[in-house]
Amino acid sequence: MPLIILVCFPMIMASCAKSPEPIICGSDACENCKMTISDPKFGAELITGKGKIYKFDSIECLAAYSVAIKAEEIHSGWVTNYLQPENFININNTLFLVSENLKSPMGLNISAFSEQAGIEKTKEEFGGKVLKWKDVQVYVKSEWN
Amino acid sequence: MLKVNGINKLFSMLAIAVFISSAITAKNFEVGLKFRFTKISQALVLADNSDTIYVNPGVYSEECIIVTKAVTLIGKSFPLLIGNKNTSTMILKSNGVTVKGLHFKNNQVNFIHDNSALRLENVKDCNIEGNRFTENFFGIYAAKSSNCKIFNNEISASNIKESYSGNGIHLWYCREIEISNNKINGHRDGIYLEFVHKSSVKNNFSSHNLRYGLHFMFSDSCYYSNNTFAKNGAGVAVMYTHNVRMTENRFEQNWGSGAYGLLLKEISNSIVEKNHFVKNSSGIYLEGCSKIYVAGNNFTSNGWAIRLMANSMENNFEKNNFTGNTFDISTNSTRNYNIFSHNYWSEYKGYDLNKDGIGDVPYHPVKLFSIITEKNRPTLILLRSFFIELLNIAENIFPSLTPETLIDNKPSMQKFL
Repeated sequence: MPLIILVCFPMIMASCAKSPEPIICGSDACENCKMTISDPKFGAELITGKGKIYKFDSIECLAAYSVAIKAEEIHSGWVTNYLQPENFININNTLFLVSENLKSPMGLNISAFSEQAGIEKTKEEFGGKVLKWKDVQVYVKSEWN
Repeated sequence: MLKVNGINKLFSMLAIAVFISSAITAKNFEVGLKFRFTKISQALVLADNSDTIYVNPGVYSEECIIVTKAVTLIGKSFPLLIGNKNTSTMILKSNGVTVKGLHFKNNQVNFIHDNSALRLENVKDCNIEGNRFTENFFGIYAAKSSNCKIFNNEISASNIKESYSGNGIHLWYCREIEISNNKINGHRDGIYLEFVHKSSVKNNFSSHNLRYGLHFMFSDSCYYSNNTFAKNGAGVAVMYTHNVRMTENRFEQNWGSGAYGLLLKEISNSIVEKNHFVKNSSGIYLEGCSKIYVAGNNFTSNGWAIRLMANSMENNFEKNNFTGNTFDISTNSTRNYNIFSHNYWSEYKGYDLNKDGIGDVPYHPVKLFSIITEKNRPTLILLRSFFIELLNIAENIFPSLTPETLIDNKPSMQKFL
């Protein structure tokens, strides 16, 4: 019996871990704009304090949704790395690029990068400006209101 | 008198001379294996404005054809233009270009450049007419262009994954574009409009696209009519826009949890009139919509005819036919700021004693169960169960959870033709 608990407990704990789950393009819908998510490069997720996961088709949808709900409901926000769309990055560790030449699904053209080198290289190629998460929220709020 | 006549004659002769000389200077070029030019780009180098280039049957595999002169390109029996990996197959950079009768094939996936078979860049007065597009990433991609016509084209692709599939006709920052009589299937979105103004989408047939048959975003003052959107992954989406007219379209067989005949999100001052919604999971889904006039539509055999979310107000639903839908109206709110009147409801069980064609008892289109399923989707499994029927009847007699004001006070006894 103790062995079972010993084995099961970490499993149960793991299943409760608040980490993002993969986005299924073509089937998952964006919580904010209701569109079917189709571009893995611009995906985003929001995990609530209760562990519920909301998925978004763009970083701007996550930003708009996160300012509309109470801050204490949010556990964490995640975005997909533009250079490696299968990897999620926490929004607090993310650098965002706003560039007219990298068109995002909802028209505000925000993409996410995990490291300085990657964003610098992309910025050199496509132009644009680098933002932090707080600036992204302000930018989206001002553009969409 | 004679003198005046003479001057007139002189002028008219001059005019004729100018006309003839311009007709003579407009040259024709033939491109093909047996001709002087074997490549379209070679002919383009020597061509001038208003010249015509005839492309003879054959296979043309060229590195990005860039058109910088106002020429007319005409294909004879659909010559094949094979695409490549790094660029678009053909890019129009001049006003007044006509592209007709060509067959664009196999333009490959390139995310960064949005590879397209035919790209219009910052141009005016172009005609894209009667071409074929098969297995391309994007079919026709127009950026910052105006006053162009895209008609009679056949566009198809057969990608399975959305992320590796582009749009059939893609418009970005365009004005006054006419898209008509095209057939589009198998792309991500059949027709996609983003930041487009005063454009029209007419008589198109858009089906079997992976996501939307038609996708409108931030595009005001556009109208679309007489189109058919069938069996698309998620139906049609019209979002973040005002002043849109949607008339006489057919929305058919868009099935799935995230599929809508017509998804309206943040739309205002628009008209949805005389459309047919047949066999969709949700006929129309409205979220954050206001001042939309929905009239004269047929809702037939849908899961939900209309799903009206709480933040929609001042919408007017008039003279629609609701026939054989599982749910006529569903909402997630107990309040209602929309008007329903003079609709025909096949589920209406009232009577008309004074024979004025209007039912004497109001009709409640929202069933209690539809509110429950809106909040908790898995409960749908209980549909048609005895218990649920009982609940619906009880709610009908003493409304407590369904919006009291969401009623049709003047339901029509007769179906509108």
